[in-house]
Amino acid sequence: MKNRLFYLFTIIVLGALLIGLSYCTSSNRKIVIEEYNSVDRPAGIYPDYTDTVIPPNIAPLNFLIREKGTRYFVKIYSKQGKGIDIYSRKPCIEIPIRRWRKLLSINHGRKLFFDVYVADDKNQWSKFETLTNTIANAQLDRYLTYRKITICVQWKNMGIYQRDLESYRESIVLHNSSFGDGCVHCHSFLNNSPDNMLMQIRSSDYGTPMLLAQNGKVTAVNTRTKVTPGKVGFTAWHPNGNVIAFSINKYRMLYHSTAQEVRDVFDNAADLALYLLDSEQVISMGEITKPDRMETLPEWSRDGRYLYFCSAPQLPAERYSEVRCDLMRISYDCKTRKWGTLETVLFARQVNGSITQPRFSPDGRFLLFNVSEYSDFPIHQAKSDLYLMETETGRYRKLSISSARCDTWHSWSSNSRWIAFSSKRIDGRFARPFFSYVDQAGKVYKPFVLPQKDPTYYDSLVRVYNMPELIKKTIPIKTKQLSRAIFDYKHAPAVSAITGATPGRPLPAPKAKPPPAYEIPGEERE
Amino acid sequence: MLNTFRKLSSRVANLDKDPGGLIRSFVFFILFFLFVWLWIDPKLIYHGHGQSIMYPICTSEMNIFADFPPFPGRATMYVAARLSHYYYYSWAGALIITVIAWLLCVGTGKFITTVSGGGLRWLRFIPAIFLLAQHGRYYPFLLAENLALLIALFFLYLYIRLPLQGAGLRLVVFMVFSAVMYATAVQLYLVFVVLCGIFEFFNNRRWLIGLSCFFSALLIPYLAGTFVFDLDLSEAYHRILSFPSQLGLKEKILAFSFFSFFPIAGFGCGLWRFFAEKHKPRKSKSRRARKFLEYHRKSKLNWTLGTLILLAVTAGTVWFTCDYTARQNQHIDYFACHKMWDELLQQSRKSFGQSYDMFTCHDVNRALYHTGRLLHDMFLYPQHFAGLLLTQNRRFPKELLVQIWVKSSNTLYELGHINEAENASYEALSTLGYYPEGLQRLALINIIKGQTDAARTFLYALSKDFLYEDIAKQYLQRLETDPLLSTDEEIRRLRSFMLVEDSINKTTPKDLLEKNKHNRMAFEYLMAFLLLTGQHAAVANSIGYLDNFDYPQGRIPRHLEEAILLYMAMTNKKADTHGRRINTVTIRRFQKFMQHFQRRKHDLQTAAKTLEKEFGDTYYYFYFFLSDASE
Repeated sequence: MKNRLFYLFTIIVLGALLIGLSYCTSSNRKIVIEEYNSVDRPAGIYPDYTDTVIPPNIAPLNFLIREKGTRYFVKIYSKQGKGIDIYSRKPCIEIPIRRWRKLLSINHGRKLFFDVYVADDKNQWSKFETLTNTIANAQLDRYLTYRKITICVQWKNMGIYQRDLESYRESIVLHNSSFGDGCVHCHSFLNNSPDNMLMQIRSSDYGTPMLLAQNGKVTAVNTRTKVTPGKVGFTAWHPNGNVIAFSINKYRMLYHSTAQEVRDVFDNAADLALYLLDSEQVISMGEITKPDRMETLPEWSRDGRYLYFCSAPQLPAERYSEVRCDLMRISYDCKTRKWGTLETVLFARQVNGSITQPRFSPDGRFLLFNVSEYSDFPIHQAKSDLYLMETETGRYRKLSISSARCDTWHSWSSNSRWIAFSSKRIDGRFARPFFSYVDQAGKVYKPFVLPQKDPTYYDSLVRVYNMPELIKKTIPIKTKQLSRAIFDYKHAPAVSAITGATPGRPLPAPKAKPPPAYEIPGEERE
Repeated sequence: MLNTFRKLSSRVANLDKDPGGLIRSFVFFILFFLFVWLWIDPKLIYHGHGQSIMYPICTSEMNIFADFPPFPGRATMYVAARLSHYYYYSWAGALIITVIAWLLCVGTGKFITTVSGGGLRWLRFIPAIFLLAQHGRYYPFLLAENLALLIALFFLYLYIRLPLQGAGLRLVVFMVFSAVMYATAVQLYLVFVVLCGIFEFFNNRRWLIGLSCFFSALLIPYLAGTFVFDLDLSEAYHRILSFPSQLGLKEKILAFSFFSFFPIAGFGCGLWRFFAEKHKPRKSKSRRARKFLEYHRKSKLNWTLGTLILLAVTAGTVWFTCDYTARQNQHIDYFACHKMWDELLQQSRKSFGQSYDMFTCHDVNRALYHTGRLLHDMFLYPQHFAGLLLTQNRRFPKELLVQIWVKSSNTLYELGHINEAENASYEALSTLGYYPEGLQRLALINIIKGQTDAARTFLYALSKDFLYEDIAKQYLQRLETDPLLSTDEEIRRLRSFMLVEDSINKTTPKDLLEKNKHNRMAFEYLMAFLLLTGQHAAVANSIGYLDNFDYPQGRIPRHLEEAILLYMAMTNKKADTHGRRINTVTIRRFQKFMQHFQRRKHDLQTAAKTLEKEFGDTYYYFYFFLSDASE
């Protein structure tokens, strides 16, 4: 009996091995299509990976062939190296990662071709026009960090994730279930490096700390001071790494009765302040905390001399559609802590819209910004476009890659050759991460969506990608460190605040009424 | 030690061969299955969006836990979420519950037999009875905890059968099992630990190992929280003691009784064995044989009696613990979900009293509208204006928001309040994690708004659910040829109801009616709102709208007639009825009511009681006696 069982088991195992082996060899076998009909158009593929420039270190661009057929064959090749042949009975094309990497690595700066063949039910093959992409010389930063959230006011299933762009690995940086479903938002990095990272938290249980991660350590900073009584919104690292500019926003949700986007965000008040890391102090001054204007979305110039930001007159919520931000800047000397004069870089009327989210390329040559119809929060706009300004000449233009839908939350790679941004161009509702190549002359090439192992991944994903930020290496901080810092935040002392007019001097004793320069509009600015 | 195990296992095996016991179990579980299928009706739990917090649902393609960081108990929750999906079919849900109950029964039997040394096996049915009582309360749903209990019993069984004697080795294995328990079924981790400790105390008489079990159990959460899961220490320990926060007091008592039954029973059985072995004289073989024969002579009677007692105890427990209110509400919810309006109204008549809440009120009004009776019969049912649209969120506790979004999104959608319905659907979808009806509605809303691409995303997400796959694919196919579904009557109708001018102010049925004067639901809901807020003057001035709808020629809906009569009586003004006549029966009833009311108006409480039977279904009765109360 035992022997019989043994033989039966052996036969089953061998059978399974044979079947597996034959399957593998059949799917990898060399296909030679000698006879085929030529079709005078390129095959429809999804996502659209055609006529674009791709990084030499990107994960395989798996795609779906949108042509009717019973069998599919794709040949991927370039000038050098062995091409990749993929035969499939399904229209879903999965490219082997090792061979893909090898092909791309030896063909920097060259064209990459995709020959697509589709066989009909009579076994008649058709060859479509060759799809062409270009492999860039410049690498893309290896990791992309983004916030993935559901569309809702409740903070449910929200997290900051990082994705290895050379593979499909995604990992959680911080999920809000780690700290009682609070809000985790507005992550930023110093010079595309995760060694210096910021992240904001809003939690009814744990408060509103600013998480500062530096050299493997996490600190929850209590930024609430007399001059900054609100919650921190957007942040920007000074290139020297010692100063963080941040905005304090008091957002309110608006709901449209008929607009395409139901939700909208209105800023009831916004001001700017600086957090000085070495002295752990918050400073601000009148020009960036005007009571009749909102100042938000800070960004440092690459030389660190100017603080750029967006500013608009403070209006009541009923006039939400009139909120148009100008692009402003003010000089600041980190050594003397002296502020210069306020300048308008670009008026909203010049672009006929609201200017938001200014981001300098790391080489300082370009300023990428967003223009939407109104608002300082463009993600909820049905349409918003990307603009590029040459910093030396001040010339700007709307990028041709802007879609008819919302394109926002852009960021630069560390080598200034790539931009990442969130775009709703696929379905108009859910933002997905896209990348575009920017050449030396500032020409921006056709964007492509972040590749996924399953090319249909985005089709049914009812979550959005926010704030894609490119970083050079994986975040060295563990989730637990971040959540631990949040738990300990209750014990964190508030940082001290000093006046901008008299640098270095501690904040004067509270008076009945604070000096006008620090008056924050709105009573309930919590 | 090995011998002891052999003896034990043979004893267990012999007991299993007891045909009487097997038949009793079979009868019990057949009845259990039928009861769960036909009376508890698991599909009510599946559709419990409104009345109970629906348990997260997963499909093979839609794992709502995928984006979450790993946490203890995730595996059990995932399996529970997958199994919950089958509650859509009552028989499948009943089968799942019955199998769990049966496995619990087997596991408990094995444990009890081991600890007690062979007696007290009847205790094995108690978990099944608890399970029945738990499901009879409908709210909330503890499938993950029940599965965790099964896992705990499984690991306990493995631990009991361990052929290891060394204390150190036993402890190591215990720690490994504990770690696995903590990671996969943290909900019942403590029960596992305590049961292992009891086993060591009473069976192996190894007090030291028993104690070590308890102490080492404290170590596992620390280690798992530190090295495996990114958990705060307090959180790591908190998880072993926490149950769903939605548990009410009665449910809490029931759940804790259920899960603490095992340690208590284990301890009791251990003591029983301990004293039985100590005090009972050793019986001679012949005496035992005599007893055995005697037992078998009485076995039929015993079997019958035992079975009857078991069934009586089960029935009594269910009768005593069942939440009939929750059951009725679940039914109403189910009927609303499936648009079974007549059944809903019939069911709601049974719910008068405590169970008639705002949600029932909301569903009843919706059913009344769809059966064409809203303005004729709405005061036959308890009413409150906040229940009409459920849009006054501030009136409800935060925990109820998800139910409000689910319910109000249906009504708002039917009203043509498309953007608000969209917003409510998003909130419900995000809070529930997976909400197929919400996905379907969002798809339709986007089609109505002309956003076909977004609609496709929702439909693709819906098509991953085998229950909704067909309907999603049908829509996707239709979108290929007609991206706006312009030939779809329902879509066209709702599109015509949509507001044109954008606003950030709250819109009302009045705005919808002004946009499209043929929006009958907006009209009826507006009239209902005016009636519920005592604005009969506004009602009297709105009779002209009736001409836009297919109400019977020359007639006015009864409640509007009553409002007109009240308006005329209170203001001495004539109302413009646009050539429609007020029914003489309504007039006579009103006159009669007013006569009675005038006579008793100084004692409103008595008047309310006296007049309720005859006039309780009228607007004026509501206006005089109930509207203040409902405020």
